[in-house]
Amino acid sequence: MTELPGNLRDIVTQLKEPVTASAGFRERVMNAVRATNARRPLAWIVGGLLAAGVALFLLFHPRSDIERPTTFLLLAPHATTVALVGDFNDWDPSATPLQSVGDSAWFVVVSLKPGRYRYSFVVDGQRWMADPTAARAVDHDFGPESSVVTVLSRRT
Amino acid sequence: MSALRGFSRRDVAPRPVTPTDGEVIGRVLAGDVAAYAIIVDRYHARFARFATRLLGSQEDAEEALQDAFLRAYRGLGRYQDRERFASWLYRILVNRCRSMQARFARRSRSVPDFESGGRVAADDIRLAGREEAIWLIGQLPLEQREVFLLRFVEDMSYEDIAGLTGLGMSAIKMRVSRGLDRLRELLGGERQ
Amino acid sequence: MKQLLVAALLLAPTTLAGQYPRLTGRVPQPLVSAVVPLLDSARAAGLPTDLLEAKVLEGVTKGANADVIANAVRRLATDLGTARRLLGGGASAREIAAGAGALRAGFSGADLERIHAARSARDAAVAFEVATDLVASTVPVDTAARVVLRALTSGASDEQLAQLRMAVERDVANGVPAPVAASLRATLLFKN
Repeated sequence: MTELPGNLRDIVTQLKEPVTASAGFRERVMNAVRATNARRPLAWIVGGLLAAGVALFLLFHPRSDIERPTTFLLLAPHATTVALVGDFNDWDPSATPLQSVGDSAWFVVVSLKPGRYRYSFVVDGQRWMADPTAARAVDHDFGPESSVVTVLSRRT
Repeated sequence: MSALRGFSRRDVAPRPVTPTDGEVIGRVLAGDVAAYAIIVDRYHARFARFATRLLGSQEDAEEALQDAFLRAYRGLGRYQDRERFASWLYRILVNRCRSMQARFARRSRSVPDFESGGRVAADDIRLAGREEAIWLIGQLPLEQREVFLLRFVEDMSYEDIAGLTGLGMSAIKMRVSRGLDRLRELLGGERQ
Repeated sequence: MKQLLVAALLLAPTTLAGQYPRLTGRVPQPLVSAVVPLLDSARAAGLPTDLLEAKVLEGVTKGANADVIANAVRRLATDLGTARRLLGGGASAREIAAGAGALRAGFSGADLERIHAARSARDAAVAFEVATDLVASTVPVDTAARVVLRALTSGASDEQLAQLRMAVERDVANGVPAPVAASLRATLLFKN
């Protein structure tokens, strides 16, 4: 058993100060939990339809250099507009708006050549959201986070 | 009520019972979503201080905790009762904390950093309080900080730390020992 | 804001419109002065400026100030130059970009060279990207390098590397410690 020297004991005493939850923490978590429930069936339906469409397209276009349709999906129930920005559209918020489906899902299908792209969503023209279902980009030169999508070519 | 399963109600006087994690999870999976709040309260109480000290900020810690609770909820159907829920949730939480720290570490590379690795006089520590304490343990790599907090702040035994983190005993002891060495160095003491 | 931008356009030097058309109409004047020299010297060094332009536009869209954007461009240009030097003249643009990304993620020049060599005649871009993505999933850099190298020496295709990445990301999201997931999935996928 390691004995802590006096100066480290002081540090530990400081760190042992209890931490109480901020107001509304439990509510925030439970709201998010309930929202997960509400969204899930729709996400599966929309995701399933889009995946089926993408799969059919891929089936009939086997060339490796062709652009592949890539689906971007975001669940944002209170959004008025959602835009996709990324390496493939010069991060232009007006270039690729998403369409809404139902009351919380937004999607767009973009044809992308095989490669790796960083991207993000812009909600209501001002709120940045990385894609919660995608990998995060490693470099964070600027505040808001980006996600990464890798489009594979058919023949690798 | 579920804790009284297997006992005749005549045998045991009715008293408030604390459901186990397994019982709460059973209820949630059966459709009682609101019961998940029991898990949230229970494990916030248990992990909030740890996460706050690990990340150095309560706001960040609550973001990591919220994310962990959400992921745990989504994964409840996959959760295997082989191991305790506490250690499953703990690993998700530390993973979230690690992601958050990685994110901040990269961001801060592009702005000037205050000098790390310098010596801090022991007297300064006694005077400066919690901010300095957090800065000090922030100089440890996350793996060492993690076990330091579990051992000395959360007062857990090595066995309990092993159970919670899934790490082996020698790995835990090595991390504790390295962490202490580093802290002693920072405080101007001799390496032992 | 829009009026300011239009005024800036009228004042903008023609070099911007001529050589960097993607930036026209989107980059405010102070940033133009900071960034065009960087782009020009990168172009003179034969580096792909389209990535640098994308970085500028990303910063503009995210509302970063001119200094931060210029720093980011400078940093990326440096990484691209280093990657190109390490990978040699035959490297594709995507390879160089991916190599720069890997440097940014914390891989060393030696790591890049080893991965490049292990890929023999073929394009190492996906290998670098997968290595970078593993680190983004909180796999430590040395573990990621080891895992990718092992996969490559086992003859892994780009598709298999991508499968490895996706499997590790899923595992990590489910609470498996990242280095464990990476090692395990590599062993499962590449049984040599």
